[in-house]
Amino acid sequence: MDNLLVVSHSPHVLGKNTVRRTMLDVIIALIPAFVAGILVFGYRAAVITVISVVSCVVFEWLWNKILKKPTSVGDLSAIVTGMLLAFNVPVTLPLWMVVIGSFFAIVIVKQFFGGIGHNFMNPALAARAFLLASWALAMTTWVAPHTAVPLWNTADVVTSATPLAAYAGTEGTVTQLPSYLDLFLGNVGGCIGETSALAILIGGVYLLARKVIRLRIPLAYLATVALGTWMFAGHDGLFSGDALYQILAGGVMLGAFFMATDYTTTPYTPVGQVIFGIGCGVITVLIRVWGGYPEGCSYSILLMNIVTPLIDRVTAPKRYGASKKRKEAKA
Amino acid sequence: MKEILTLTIKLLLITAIVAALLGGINMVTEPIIAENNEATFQANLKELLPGAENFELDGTKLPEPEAGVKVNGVYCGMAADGTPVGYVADAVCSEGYGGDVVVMTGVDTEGKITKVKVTEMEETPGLGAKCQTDWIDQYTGLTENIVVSKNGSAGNNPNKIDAISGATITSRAVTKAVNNSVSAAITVINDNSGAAPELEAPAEGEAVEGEAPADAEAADGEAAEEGAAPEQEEAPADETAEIDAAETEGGAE
Amino acid sequence: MENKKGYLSTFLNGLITENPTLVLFLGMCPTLAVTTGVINGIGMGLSTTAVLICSNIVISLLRKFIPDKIRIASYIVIIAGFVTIVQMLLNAYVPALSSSLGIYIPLIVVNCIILGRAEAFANKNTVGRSALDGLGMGLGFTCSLCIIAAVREILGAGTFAGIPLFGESFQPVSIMILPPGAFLTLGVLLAVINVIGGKIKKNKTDDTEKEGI
Repeated sequence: MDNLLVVSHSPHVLGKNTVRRTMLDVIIALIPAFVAGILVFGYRAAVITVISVVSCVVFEWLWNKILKKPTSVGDLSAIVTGMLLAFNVPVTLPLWMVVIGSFFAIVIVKQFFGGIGHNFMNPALAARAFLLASWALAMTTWVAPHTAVPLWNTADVVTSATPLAAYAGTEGTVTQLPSYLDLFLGNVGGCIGETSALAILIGGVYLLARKVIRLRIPLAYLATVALGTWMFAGHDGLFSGDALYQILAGGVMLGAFFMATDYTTTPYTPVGQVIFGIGCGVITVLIRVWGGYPEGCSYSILLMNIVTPLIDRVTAPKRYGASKKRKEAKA
Repeated sequence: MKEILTLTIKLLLITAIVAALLGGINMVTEPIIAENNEATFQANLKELLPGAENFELDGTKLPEPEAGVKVNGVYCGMAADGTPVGYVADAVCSEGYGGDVVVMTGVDTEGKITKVKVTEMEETPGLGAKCQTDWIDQYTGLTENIVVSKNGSAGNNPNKIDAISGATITSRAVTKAVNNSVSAAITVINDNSGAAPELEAPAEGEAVEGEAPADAEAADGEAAEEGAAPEQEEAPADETAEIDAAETEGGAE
Repeated sequence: MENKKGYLSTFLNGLITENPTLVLFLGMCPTLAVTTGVINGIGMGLSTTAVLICSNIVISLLRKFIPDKIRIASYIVIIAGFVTIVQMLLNAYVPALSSSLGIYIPLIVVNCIILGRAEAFANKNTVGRSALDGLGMGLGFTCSLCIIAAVREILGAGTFAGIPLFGESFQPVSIMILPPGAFLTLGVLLAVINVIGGKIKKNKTDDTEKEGI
């Protein structure tokens, strides 16, 4: 009885990937955007992010405790949700709204449906949509970069237009459009984490290098948005749109790399993922060009999240020989 | 065959009895409902033009309203002795968030709004339904071509109202109805006074004050006025463009 | 005594055990649409109760008269008749309520509670019990409407039955007044009720087990 034989079933060799490891990578990838947010919008951006993360973790821990489930906070997904939610709100948002948004994201969108891996929508984006529908004015109070925003009572700040709103010409006080460099570095108005394309790209490259995400979805999404806005978003007829401006401005960069690539809510087949990216792009262009809002990124991802099971079913790989057998069985 | 006959007769019986009952109750309630509506209408008219006792539908041909608005009529409100106190226009705009918005606008003899009232609407409570609260008092004192201002987008224009936060569509619909009502009322005023329309800068919105001498023959409610109302040219298309350009639909992401 | 117990249990059945909204899931459309305010909820609930009682009584009276083959058609005629009567009476005597409930009064006709109870109860039971069932179901409907409307109105507009509860600085959660808020509130309420109901059942089976042993 010297050699103990293994009697469990396969797999016997385990890789190093765990949920925790993946989430840690995402957190690291989000840090450049976090730093950029603080540089552009000041310390309040850090406060919002910290509050969002802490609220998400607390709510998840409370939920597990109250329902007597094993604690799942260790998988760090609540931290990721907290950061993404914070990056999707303006820096002027009252802090209590951030807490309520966290509650909605963790308890209602994620835990009500079964916890991690079972939610049908991206929790951070769903919470953003909830906050936008509930407090439209607070969620659309944008400030120019480097404006001092008080910690409480943010109602009296001087507002300015976001780059997309300026492009679309919908804001009442329109100055000139920001330059490409400003858009790339993030020196523009908008949500905390979405302004700096540079920071997001750094994070995106890290994720690609760590093989956490594939280039498929971001590429499909950005390419579709570029093509669509070039064709339709111009002010001088067809094919006159400023595609580069449209990609660098608004939330598409953040959405393409961090939210459209979420494992749970996006298709698992390669073809499905490309379809998902293209679908998001199409809906974003539709909303930006013909819809009532200047930005359509979050709604596009949410809508495609809902369609994902359908995409999975349609693009599921067929078992080798399966269709032939069915034909023979019928005959 | 007998079964079909039984079924038919029984169903006929049930339907006939229910129909008779409905007819009976309708006979009883119909006059009450009509009376209620008329009383509410008269009460509204009086509310909008304090001091006026009698109202008469004016027969002047009204200008063509913008698309989406219908002006049902302009009523001339007269004091007990027959002098005109002002006019009330009844308009409905179909561009509300939940459907039609029926607005009654009281205009004094100089073309300035005395009061506005939203009598029927199906807007969302807490949002568009706020058009029936104190918010509506903003219209008092304004005149034609009111601009809907969102977050201060109208700048220094005094002839503006602030949109309900979160209910721009409702605010626009009500304003559209009011603008067309005021235009219709001003047309009636001009028609009755026989004065030629004068051009005046819309941004100022000042009333050129003048006496409104009570005409002895004003038994039918028409009075001659002298250069009283600030007249502006009808420019519905510009109005719409101005309102659209001055608004943001909540720059959402 | 047996009859009296039967009556009370019929009434409580409609109110709690088989509450039309929260247990039977009937009448969802008006539940979600009308609960934007407590006054609307009460008005709708009481109007539906009135129609429900009247239609239950009449259908129970005629249960031996109406042939089976045309019963659905007859029920609908009777129910539609009562709804129209209620609408005319509301228009004449309480026009404010009628205009705020708007299109949902005529929609009582297709409220599944009424047709459902006519089919499931009134055409098999005596007039008295049918009337009580109508009362119980209608009041159960009204109660659930009030609960949902209270949550939505307090959170979404900061008022209760039109009376402002909080100060000027309260920023209401606008989404609660909109349709998504209705679904959210209903969902959470159902979850809570299921949890409580589950616990009650568990306690009951535990008790009977203990007695058995």
